[in-house]
Amino acid sequence: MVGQESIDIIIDGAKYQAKPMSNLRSVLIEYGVREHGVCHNEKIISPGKCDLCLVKIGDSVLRSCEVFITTKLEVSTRDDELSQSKINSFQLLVDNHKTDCERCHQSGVCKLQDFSRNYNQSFAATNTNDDKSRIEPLARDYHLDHDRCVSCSLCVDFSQKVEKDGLFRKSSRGKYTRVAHDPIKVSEIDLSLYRDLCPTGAIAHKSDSRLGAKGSWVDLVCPGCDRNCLLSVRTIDKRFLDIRSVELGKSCEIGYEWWRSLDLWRSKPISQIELSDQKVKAISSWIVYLSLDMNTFEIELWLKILKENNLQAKLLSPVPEDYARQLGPDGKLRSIDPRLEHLELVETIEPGEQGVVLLEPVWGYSESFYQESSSACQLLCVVTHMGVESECVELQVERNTWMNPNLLPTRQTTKIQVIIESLISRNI
Amino acid sequence: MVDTLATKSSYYHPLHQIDSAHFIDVYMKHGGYSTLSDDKSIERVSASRFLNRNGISLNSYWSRMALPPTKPRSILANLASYEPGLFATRRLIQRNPHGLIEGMLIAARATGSDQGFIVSPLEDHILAQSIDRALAEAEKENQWGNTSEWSFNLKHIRLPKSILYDQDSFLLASLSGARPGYPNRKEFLCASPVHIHRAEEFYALVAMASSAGEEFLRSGSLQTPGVYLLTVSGEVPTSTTIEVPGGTPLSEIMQIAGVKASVSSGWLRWGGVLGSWQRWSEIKDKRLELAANGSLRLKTFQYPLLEWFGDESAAAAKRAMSYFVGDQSCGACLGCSRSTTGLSKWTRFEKTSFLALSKCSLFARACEASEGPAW
Repeated sequence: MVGQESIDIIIDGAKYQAKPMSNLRSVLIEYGVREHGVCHNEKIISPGKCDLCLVKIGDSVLRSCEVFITTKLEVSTRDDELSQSKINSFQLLVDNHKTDCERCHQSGVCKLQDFSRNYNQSFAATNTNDDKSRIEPLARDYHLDHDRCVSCSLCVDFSQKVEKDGLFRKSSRGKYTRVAHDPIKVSEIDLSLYRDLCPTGAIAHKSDSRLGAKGSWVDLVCPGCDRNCLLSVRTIDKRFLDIRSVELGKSCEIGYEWWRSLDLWRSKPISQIELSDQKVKAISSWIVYLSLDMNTFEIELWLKILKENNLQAKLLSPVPEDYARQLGPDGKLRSIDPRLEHLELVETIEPGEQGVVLLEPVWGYSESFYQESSSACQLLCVVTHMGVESECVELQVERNTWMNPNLLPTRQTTKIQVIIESLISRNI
Repeated sequence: MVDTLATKSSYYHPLHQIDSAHFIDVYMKHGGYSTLSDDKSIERVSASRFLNRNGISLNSYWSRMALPPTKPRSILANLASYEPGLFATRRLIQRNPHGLIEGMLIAARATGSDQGFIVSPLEDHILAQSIDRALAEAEKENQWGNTSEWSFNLKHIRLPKSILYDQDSFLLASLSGARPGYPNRKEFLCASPVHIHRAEEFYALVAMASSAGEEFLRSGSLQTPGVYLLTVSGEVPTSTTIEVPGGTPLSEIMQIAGVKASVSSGWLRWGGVLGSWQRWSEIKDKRLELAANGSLRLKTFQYPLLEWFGDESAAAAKRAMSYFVGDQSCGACLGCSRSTTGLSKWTRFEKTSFLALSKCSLFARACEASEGPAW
């Protein structure tokens, strides 16, 4: 098998080529064979839970997601016995599945719905499992609806094997198996990935319940930042939006939030919105303005960050009127630390800067000073200290371009190194 | 023919009439651990045709892999698998913990193993206390451990009770860390192959190695030699644990539990919750034959448990089986995890299609158990 470039496989009588060790289900999708399996993703070895992607190879019925092509295969996807097996699986799978498709944002793209139409199967109405009949809140208006979950374990596998964030896990056994989440991590992790991933609409945002009608999909590039995520967007009554990322993991909650905040009722149709002038340009240079009140620990931390990221820095010492509160008890500034003497001392942020990281002193800057500063640069990040001993800071990113800052969840709390690294690498 | 534990002679708990026989000094005073020094008794055990739970002889099981004698092996007593109706093993270990250890030491000598594991349920604290105390006593008396003459070490591992531990491959994979979600103890498991037995089989080894060993092996039929420990339960006047020679008629066994020979209605379940159902009228004349071609061979997830049920109770027991599978399965396959929707109502085609897709034999046992009395 080593060195062999392709293997012949016969799917329903037609001859195709596949790479050795490629997954049969991926090959079926590639060649346009209609499949309904819900628990498969190319990035993981499928848990083989849904039993909807069954195929017949020889006399045996197998899950196509568990077959890796090593030899020449003859695969049958249309067979009476196979159809009956799939129907059996479907009936078991949707036994506890909620049937309010009109309220589900997966409506129209749902594979269970597709299966029921193709195989003329209705959803069973025996929704009797009390243990599952509840909606579990996650974070930021996202929730996990156990009535919609069919325990396909895709989110669990993705969380544990691909993202490795430990967000989702399985709890209990047998019919009581359900998806559980880490209540602490859920507040830190972007849930848009899991919303896109969930095939049955169990992980959803509060506003998703307004969606559900089948609409036409439009491909466009998200103007939220310069990552240029390719999204699929559909409008419902020109009012509500459903957004999916074409490539999994390429969208973010911030982007969703912005799209949802658009008042399309008053604006032009989505195809006519001119997106190009709203786009933030990539910022190539960042400069850090340090304050004069840093203690020894902070000085060491910032010098380390500057050195590691090869950043320029200046010391900012504005006139006393630019401070929000009175300076120290004697009304005087601390003398400059010898380790910072090599930095240039300035009174204001110099106009024409691209990206500015502004370290706020304990006594803060006045509003007018912030306004001047933000107009002097393209992007201003204000770093506010939460504690002297802790490395944690609260970073507020204010975007002075097209975005209304009120629309954006811009406050993040994490380690300053992580924030700086993300600023440098992603060029927010 | 049949000796209960209450009568004078018992192979599995020979010291049942002696006070404090669960302490090592009393146990040794009455001949405990004396079999270990006798080479002939060990040879007798190896040569015996006593059947283990899989219906094959001990020697066939131990030599299932052709290995050089220098290859390390280990012995494992599996108490963490789960059968709600079985109480024989637990009672036996509590009353005679040294019998288990002596049986493991005999098995170790017969197989050349240098490691032993007792896997007990985490939930059963009292049982664990008995095992720990007996292990400490035996080590102090140099029956095992670094100071004993025979190089053999015993470990007591406690795992949360799970039905899936009854499958040897699952238990070993779980212990060695290949089943995420199940606790691993891979720091201990360094010798392979691991010979896994249920606890009562070790007691049978002691009986075989003792002075009454020849008599023990002479009992029973040609296909099923030896005496076997059974639990008789169900809708019977007296549930009990008995020692039964192989080849005993089932009607004779059930008479001890109070099922009259004249009764011809009802159902017999053999193997516990996931056992097979047969009409009592059809099976009452059969004998206890545990060999591969016998009438009552045990499979994985099945236990030496005979239960008689009337028609109504049989239906209830079968319904309970469905819920048991739904509760205890790992939830990895669709069939098991949704079987509570009515496994007994499924058509044969439905069962067959899920059977072909199931990843372990639990669903196969559940399908077997769903056959029989009407729900």
